[in-house]
Formats: sequence, structure tokens, C-alpha cells
Amino acid sequence: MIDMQDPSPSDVIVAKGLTHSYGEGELKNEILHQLDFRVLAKEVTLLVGPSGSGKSTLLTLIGALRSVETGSLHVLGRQLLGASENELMAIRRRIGFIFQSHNLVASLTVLQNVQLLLQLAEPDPKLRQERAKAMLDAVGLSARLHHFPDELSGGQRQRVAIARALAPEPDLVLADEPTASLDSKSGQDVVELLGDLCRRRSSAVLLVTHDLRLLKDADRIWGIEDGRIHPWEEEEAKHNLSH
Amino acid sequence: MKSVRRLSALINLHDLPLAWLQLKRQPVRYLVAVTGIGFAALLMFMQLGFQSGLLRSATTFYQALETDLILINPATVNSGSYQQFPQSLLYQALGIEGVSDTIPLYVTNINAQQLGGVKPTSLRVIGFDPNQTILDVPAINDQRDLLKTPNFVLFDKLGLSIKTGPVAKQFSDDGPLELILSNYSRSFRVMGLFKLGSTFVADSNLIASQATALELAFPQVTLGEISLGLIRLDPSANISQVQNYLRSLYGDQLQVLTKDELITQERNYWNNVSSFGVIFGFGTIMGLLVGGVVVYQVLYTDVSDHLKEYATLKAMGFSNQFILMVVIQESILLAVSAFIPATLLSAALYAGLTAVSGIRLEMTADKTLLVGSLTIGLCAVASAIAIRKLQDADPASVF
Repeated sequence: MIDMQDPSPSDVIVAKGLTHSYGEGELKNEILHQLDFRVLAKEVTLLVGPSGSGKSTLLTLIGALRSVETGSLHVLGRQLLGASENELMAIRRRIGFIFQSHNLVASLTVLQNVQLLLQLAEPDPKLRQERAKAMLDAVGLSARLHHFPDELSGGQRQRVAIARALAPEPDLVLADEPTASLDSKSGQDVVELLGDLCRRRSSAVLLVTHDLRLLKDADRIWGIEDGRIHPWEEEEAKHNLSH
Repeated sequence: MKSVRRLSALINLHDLPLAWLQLKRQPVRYLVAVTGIGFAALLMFMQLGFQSGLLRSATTFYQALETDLILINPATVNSGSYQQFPQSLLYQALGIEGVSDTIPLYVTNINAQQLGGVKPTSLRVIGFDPNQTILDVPAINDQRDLLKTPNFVLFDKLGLSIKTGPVAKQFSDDGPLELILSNYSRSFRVMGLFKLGSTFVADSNLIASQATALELAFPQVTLGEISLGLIRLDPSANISQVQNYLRSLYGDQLQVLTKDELITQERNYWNNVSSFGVIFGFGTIMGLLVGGVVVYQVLYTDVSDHLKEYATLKAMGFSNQFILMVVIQESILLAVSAFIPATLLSAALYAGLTAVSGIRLEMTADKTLLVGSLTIGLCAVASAIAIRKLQDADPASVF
């Protein structure tokens, strides 16, 4: 069992009694029920579960994209319950987001997409460009720096999204199906890249995935079903995901 | 310095101008937007140009008068149609201390043509004693001795070119030419040319002696009934003091105005009393509205198209201010991109219309500033309305 004491320095995410619902009155629909879990620094944590289980809602709460209603949720040492919009924005700047549908800015080139986000972390434009190029090189896109997103394949776009999220070296990475459009080798590379970031920066990575190939690389797996969360072993997760 | 850096970072113009990159990425939409806004700016320039051209043409004659004070019948509402008054009233002014000279002027419109040549055209006849200098127009003053011969006139070559252009051309090619009144009652001879400029009520101007003017314009004007009275003062005289004396002398019979007051009165009539001012003002507002709707449509569509991207930027930690600034920058870029070609095109159209109409339309700094401010202002208002759509950019929708 996970010990749900108060957050320790190694805790990046700590949720206690986290409950969330949509609608009001008779239409109120509780999506997350009394969640208790934690995500530790230097770990790659997987969040697995079927569609409609509450994964996306949980990600938006952890990502400070939605206000916490009930329970406690500490992210990067800050209590999100009752946090102001500015506090939520400050937390978001320390998180690297990887979206399933990439969400790249269509009018910017590959390099510019990565540089844009680095504006929040690196004041020197020259250094921004160097860091962006280095990260794109790391994801194998150095030959595509000046291409626009609509000139790339799905896998290449996903790699740009990953480079964009990792370039500012965030304290936490939230990734929604980051390997969905990647081949086996590229998927493996991405997970290694994320693991490397964890170890080097003492960051944490929380991946939402259905990709069985990633289970062996995870330090911890949380399963979510019908808005309830459980710690899963690799075999248990494999069994549940394959059914 | 720190605040400049902060502002530079906020408007994001240093190395990644997102607003410009977004516009550039969709060149067709950008071009359509610039065309729409540019058309609106052009419309405003045209309306303001016509308005100032009207006012200028209506007052050019007054501007050229060499006088200290002017007598005019209060029933005269504008320079297009004068109510005459007795010349004897003008001579009464000679009894006032400080008045050195009085000059009667006959001003009226006639229609004339050239048999087998120049089509019927409306001309403003200005008749005065050719021994006097009444207008600050060197070409008139140099040729005024010619006017002493009956039925000899000088012709304004800055008239409506389609109608009066042939007169100047024939004169330049073949020398003096004969014109005839449209009722065929009298003819007169054009003996020289000058430049003053046409008005909205006459295609061109004729300068004649009193006697010739009375012959050509009878019975609209009759001997002893004048249109304007010019009063010149001794150099040592106090203009406002003499004006006050004259006002008390004439009471309600006549207006006693300085040149500036007469010009202001004339401008006020065309601007505020006649329908012209309302029409041109309405045209300017229409231009503004057309431009506003175009910019709003462009920005609203643009914000809608980029809503997911803006939600993503918000999710990743960019402030609302940053995104607002992108939309505002887009609107300003559109305004500037449209304004520059619209100004150049308007200046070219002004030049063309001036050449054709004889009414001077000029691209002035105040006009440029006004249309520029209105264009940027309307883009700012349109962006402020379109920005409301940004509220739909929910960062929670990105997962």
C-alpha cells in the first residue's frame, strides 16, 4: 500500500480524497471518487485505464488546467485546492505537456514551435534557439527544423510535441498517449528520453497510455477504472489492458 | 530599461512575432483582409478629399481677394449665388476714418459655349474695375489692361477639364477665341488665361471688367447693384475698430466681415448647413463601418481557427495577456498593411481627380493622420469585440 502521509520532498504529485464531478443538482455526475495516490520524482509513472474511466479529467486537474473542487491535490509542492488563476498558471509553466493530437501551432515551423515555449523559460533568444535545436536533434528532427507541422508525418509531429514539452526541462511531464503514432523504435526512444529527463533533472513523468510496450519501462503503474485508482503490477496492468 | 524589456517580451516582437507569422501563413486571407480594410480607408480618404476639395474650391476666390474688409448682403448664403446690394451703400464707407478705398465687385454665373466647339458650360463671372488690383493672382494682374476693351475676358484654365479644357487648349494653339452665351444673346472674346480653380457650382471662372460683366450677366446683375464690396484701410487703421464703425453704420442691412470671417462663414455653410457636409460625413462613417465589419470578420474567423492553439498555449503557461496581444497585434498589422497602399492609391486618385475636375484634392498630413487613426482605431475596436471569442479557449479542453 502507498503511504498517504503529507507530501515529502520526493513527491511531485500527492492526491488525497480527490473527488471531481461535472454538472449540478440532479445532473451531477461524479467522475473521480476519493482518489489517493502519489507520483514520485525520478520515476516514470503510467496511468492506465479504459476510455471514460476519468483519466483525462485527472490529467487536467494535475495539469492545473481545472480547479480542484474537493479533496487535496499537491503538485510540485503547491496545494491546488483553492489556488488562484495566477498560481495555476505558475504551476503550468513548470509542467511539460504532451498531447495525443500534438496541438502544434500550424503557422510556426518545427524550430519555432519549440522556441515559442522556451520563451517562458529562457530569456536569451540565442540560447533558446540552441536549446530548441539540441532537443529537436535528440528526437531525430534536425533535418526538419524549418518545416511546418502540415508538412510532417503523424510520428514526426508527435516528436516535435515531445521536444517542445521537454526543451524547457520541466519538473513534471504529463503525456497523453505520447507513443500512439510512433513505431516501436521511436516509442522506445521517447520513453528513454523521458526516463533520462527524470534522472537528470529529478523530474517526474506521468504517462497516460494503452501501449503495452511501455509497461516494462515504468517505475510505477496506476490503474484507473470508473473514477477509482489502484496501484497495479506490470502483469496485472498487462492483463487489464489486453482485455 | 527593465520595463522596456518586459514590454518587448510581452508584445513578443523580438524574435518570434507570432501575429505576423500567423498572418503570413495564410496569404490569401491576409490579402482579402488588407483589400477590405484598404478599401474602407480609400473610401474615407475620398470622402474627406471631396469635403476638403469642396471647402477649398468654395473659398479659393475669397482667399485670393486683396482686401481688409468685405461687405456682403446677409441674404447671400453661399458663394454660388449672391444677393446684390446697392453700390451706394459701399461708398458710404468712404466717410469712415481709416477707410482708404472701396471697390465694387459683380459676381454671378453665366452659361456659355462655342459654336461648333466648346459645349455649354457654367462660368462664374467676376467683374471689377480693371484699373484696380483685386486678386492676388499675377496672371490676372499682368493682363488686366486687356479687360478695358469691351467683351474681352480672361479665362481660368484650372476648370473642369472635360468641359473647359478645350478653351485653354484652343487659346494655347490658336490664340484668342470667341465664346457665346448659351441664349445666343452676346458673345465675348477670351484674351488670356489664368489659374484660380473651379467650384462645385461653376465649371470655371471668367475675369471681366464691370461693363463686360454687366453686359454678359444682365439681368441677373444690374448697374449699381453689386455682389461684394471690398474695403481697403489705411495702413495705420485699426481693422476691428473700423469694422465696428461700419457695423454700426450698416446695422442689419449688410454684413461687414474680414477675409477670414468670410471664409469661415462660407466653410460653415458647406460643412454644416448644406447637405454636402452631411453626405461626405456619412460617407466617411460608412467607410469606417465597412472597414470595421471586415476586420471583425477576419479577426473573429482567425481567433476561431486558432482557438485550439490558443487553448494549448494557455495550458502550457502562456498568459491571457500574451494571447490578447497576439490578436491586437494582428489587427494593427492588418491596419498598417492596408493603410499604406490605401494612402498611396488615394494620393494618385486625388491627383487624377484634380486634373480632371479643377478642384484641388490634396493628401495632407491632417487627412493622413485622421484616416490612419480611424483605421487603427476601427481595427482596435474590431479586435476588442473578436477577443471575446478567446474566452472559449479553455485550456482544460486540450486533453
